[in-house]
Amino acid sequence: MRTKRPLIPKWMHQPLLQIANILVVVLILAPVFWMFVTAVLPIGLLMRRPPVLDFSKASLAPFVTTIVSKEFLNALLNSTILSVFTSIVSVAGGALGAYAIARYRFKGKNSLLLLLLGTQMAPGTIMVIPCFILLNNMHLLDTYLGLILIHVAFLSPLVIWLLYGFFKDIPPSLERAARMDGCSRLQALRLVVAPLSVNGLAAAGIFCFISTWASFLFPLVLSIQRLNLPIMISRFTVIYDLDFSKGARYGLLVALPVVLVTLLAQRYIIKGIVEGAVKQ
Amino acid sequence: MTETVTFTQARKPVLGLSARLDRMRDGVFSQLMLVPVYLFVLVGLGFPLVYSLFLSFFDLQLTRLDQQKFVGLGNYIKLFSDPLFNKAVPATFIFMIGSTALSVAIAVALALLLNQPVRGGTFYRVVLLVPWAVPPVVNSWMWLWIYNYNFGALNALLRALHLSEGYINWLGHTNTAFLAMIVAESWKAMPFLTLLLLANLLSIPKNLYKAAKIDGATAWGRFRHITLPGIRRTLMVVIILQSMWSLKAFDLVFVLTKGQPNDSTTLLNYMVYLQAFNFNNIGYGAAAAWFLSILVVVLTVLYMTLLRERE
Repeated sequence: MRTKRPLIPKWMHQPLLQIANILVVVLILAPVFWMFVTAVLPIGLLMRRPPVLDFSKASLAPFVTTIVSKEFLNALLNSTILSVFTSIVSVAGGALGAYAIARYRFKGKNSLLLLLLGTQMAPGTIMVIPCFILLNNMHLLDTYLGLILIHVAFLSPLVIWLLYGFFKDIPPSLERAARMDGCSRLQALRLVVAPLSVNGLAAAGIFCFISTWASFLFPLVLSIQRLNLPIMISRFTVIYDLDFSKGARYGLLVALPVVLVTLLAQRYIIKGIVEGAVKQ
Repeated sequence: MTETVTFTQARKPVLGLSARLDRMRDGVFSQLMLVPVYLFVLVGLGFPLVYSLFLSFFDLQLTRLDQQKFVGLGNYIKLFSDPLFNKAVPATFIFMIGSTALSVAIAVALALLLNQPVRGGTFYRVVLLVPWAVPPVVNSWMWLWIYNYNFGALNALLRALHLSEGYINWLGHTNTAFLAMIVAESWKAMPFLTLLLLANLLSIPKNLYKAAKIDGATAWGRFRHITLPGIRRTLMVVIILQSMWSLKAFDLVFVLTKGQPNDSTTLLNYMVYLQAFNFNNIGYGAAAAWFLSILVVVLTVLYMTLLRERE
């Protein structure tokens, strides 16, 4: 049998793969790059046909103006308070529950796990309608507390699932040994389990923070004064404010922390997705 | 005379929280730890869900919250004669099929590409995470500006490359508006799907490919008979996950198209929001929200059966 000559000779494989990969990178980053260009160039240059890409006029100074502006700082404060407290409460509460689910046998455990997963099907709108009325009745509309509560409720099922998988991997024999050596229940948790689960707790916390940071529907409906950053961005459209350059700066500033954290934690994120996929 | 007896310091306290927890049976202790979960999930999630079902049987206006009138299944019946709903259902499916097809197709191609050993491979995988990390509202706004009729980058680029003479009003026509939404959604959705597929590709034994090569299988043959069967399950999972997410699209519609032109890109989740908070029909909105949720549940049940099959 005659071996067919390969369509592409072997020495060309690596260069071709590199070209394909670079092309993908360009396509992925191009929209973000355009947002950056919009943010640093005077908007007058871009609002022409065709846009004038004169980078000698580029300046980072507008970023400073945006960052120190009152409306940005206000939204930043709101977003930060919301994200930090939501993360702390859902991780703290979720950790206790996840630990109990991972360690103890009780009636309805599997149903509870399934129920938690099931809640993830619900679209945010089905929650926001009743919550608007409930928070209104409790006079919690437009307060941090109301917003934090609804975010905690919406996010904790996934946090519990994340941490449940994590606690399951810590061998129970470690705690049993600690209990035999005279540790109390709390001591075993504090001295044995907690140090081993720092990574998992951090991962769950980051997940909560990122989700709440990007949250849009809940603040949109449930707050009027306490605008968070995504709501500010949604306003840089034809209806409210046509300043595209300002919108681009907001967009970059809001995306930056999340993208940075993701890139710093990329090893764990990729590993998490890969392992999660294999486990399932 | 009584003698004073000195007790050695007891190692375990008898009173206090710690001691009480130690005396508890495992069953009680575990339930105690689950209290926050019950609070968050049953009270925080469960109660609003039930309450929204309850609301969906009432005629209730946002402006007059104290007056609610029981209408039974009236809201649900009204849905099917609502012109906006009759536009939103097909629009939602078009968006679901379009965005799933595009993002899964890109994800498969990218996963195959990233699966090839190449210098700097880690760098390419890291760049892939960028769209995934960008918040949905930022993503939608970014594309809104790119698609801008007068000054958007897309029109300028097409003009510069001599691909199109006139400027195109991307968000002004139904077809191009759908295309615009689907591209924006796929850009953001594709990284996660790619990583799931890549994980699966990495788990296919390399020996299979070697053996097939020795047996004289072509590249297409190896793809067709080893790769494709190997990733079939994950492919199904990825398709269903993306369909589920696209059914719930909200931020994208709100920022990018606002459901326009002519309400043609009003997807169900956006319609729920409009009904409840723009047209003030809380009860009617709740009914639409339940309709959408049932759609999602049907898909998710499919997803779970698939996952169970895998085990």
